[in-house]
Amino acid sequence: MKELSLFLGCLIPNRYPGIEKATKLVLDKLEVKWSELKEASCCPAPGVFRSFDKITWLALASRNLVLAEEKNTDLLTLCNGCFSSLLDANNILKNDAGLRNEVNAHLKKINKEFMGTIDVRHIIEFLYRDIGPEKLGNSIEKPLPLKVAVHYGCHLLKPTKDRKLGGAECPVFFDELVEAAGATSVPYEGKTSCCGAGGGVRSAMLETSLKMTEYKLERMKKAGVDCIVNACPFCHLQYDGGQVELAKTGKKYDLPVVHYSQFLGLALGYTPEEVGLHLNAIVSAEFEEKIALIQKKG
Amino acid sequence: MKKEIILIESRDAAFRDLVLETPVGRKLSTCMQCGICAGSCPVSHEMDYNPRQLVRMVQLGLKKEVLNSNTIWICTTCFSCSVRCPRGIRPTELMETLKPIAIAEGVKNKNERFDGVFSDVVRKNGRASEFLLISKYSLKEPEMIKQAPFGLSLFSKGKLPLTIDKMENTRELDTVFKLGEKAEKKESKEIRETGTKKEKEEPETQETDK
Ligand code: SF4
Ligand code: SF4
Repeated sequence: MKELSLFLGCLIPNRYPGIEKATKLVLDKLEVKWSELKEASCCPAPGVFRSFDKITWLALASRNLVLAEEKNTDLLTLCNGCFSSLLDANNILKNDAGLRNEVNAHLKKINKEFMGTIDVRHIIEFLYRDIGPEKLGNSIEKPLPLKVAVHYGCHLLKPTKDRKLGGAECPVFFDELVEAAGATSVPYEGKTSCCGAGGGVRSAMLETSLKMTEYKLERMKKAGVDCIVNACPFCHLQYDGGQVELAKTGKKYDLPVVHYSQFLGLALGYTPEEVGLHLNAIVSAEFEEKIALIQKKG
Repeated sequence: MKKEIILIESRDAAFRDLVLETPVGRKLSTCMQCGICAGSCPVSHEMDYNPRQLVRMVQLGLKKEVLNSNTIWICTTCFSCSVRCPRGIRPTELMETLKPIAIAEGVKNKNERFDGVFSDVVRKNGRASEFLLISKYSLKEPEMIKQAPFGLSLFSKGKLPLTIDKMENTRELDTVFKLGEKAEKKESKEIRETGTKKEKEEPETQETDK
């Protein structure tokens, strides 16, 4: 296994810096070798760039990939959007000699060349494949006996042919990671359904996108969960910010939204503040008390 | 779907051929109208035409209806349709293919304006920040200001960083952008002039989701 370069993207540093901090704490605790990917740009956002301007998308993505190649590290993403953009670009450039030459002709102007020597990883996929739920379970210090609604998010799984993480109908790997931390992953209707944020829909048609979020929140709430655990800051934003937006129309859910890095951080003994839960829009005193109680006992 | 008579005049063969020659388009003729895509789509009830209908409309060359439908803009790119289609068609990619054609044809929509703001912010800062996006986008799209109070309330609670995380040196990025634009311009000129676009052959693969 190669060492990892941490690719943060836009949303994490600018909106949910807690996810960044939690990831770094967790990787260190698990003794994973990582370093920052300095001077990386936006991945660039697939929903925006890929559909409108494919060539700029590929050129910008390849520049980020080359930054990791130059360090001879794999590139670790914490976001389904970054994962999708960079993994797809990496696959396209590795397999299509024509496009690779075209992109390299561009990169030459900034003294870079795409070689195709690294892989793009996602934190969930990395933890599952390279560490595994069993080993992870053994390093848990404060098992969290919580009921969790797991949200995989679309681009972690789909298109399945390119992701190579198994089928998209009933995936289990993320649930296994959540359960390794001592929690119960509660089944709920529409579990693999979209949060509503992607494709530029959140930005351009907020109401439509919130209808999808509402569909999900209703069913999670009905399942009686303590919190939502996700794998992506954009889904995170959609659930966290979406609850604030839905509250304006009288719909209240009060479901804490937790990225898996943060969730694992809690199970490794870091406080809610250390993993940045207080930076969410939805802060539930009840949930934090529960965590405090678990951590005091555990 | 509303029952409408399709007039022969509304069928545009050049548009149909343009789409059918793209990588996703080459599989469209195998669509058997089973509707699995529409049944899998979490937003089909908000669409003018669901993905199944859109595929058929492209086959028929209903250019105006396809490019003006809200379908292509409402798609969240969740890929549910694509992993389930028994013919290995990816309607998601059909939407992505149709967007630039709609823009080249002058169809106005909110996503396109957002895209412009987003690329500007990335070009100047390397990475996008929600603060810059909301403030700049609100200038172009007054509706967007509706999202601002949520952002602002986080600011006032100290939850949104006041500093904007960005790249220190974006000169490299600017070069990449310029090159991309040049290539893209060439391509859309090709589309406009010849009605076709050179695409590379993609190996035929059947996607099945086990
Ligand atoms: S699922 Fe595939 S074959 Fe069936 S209607 Fe949709 S595009 Fe056509
Ligand atoms: S990718 Fe788009 S069209 Fe396909 S199911 Fe998802 S939202 Fe619907």
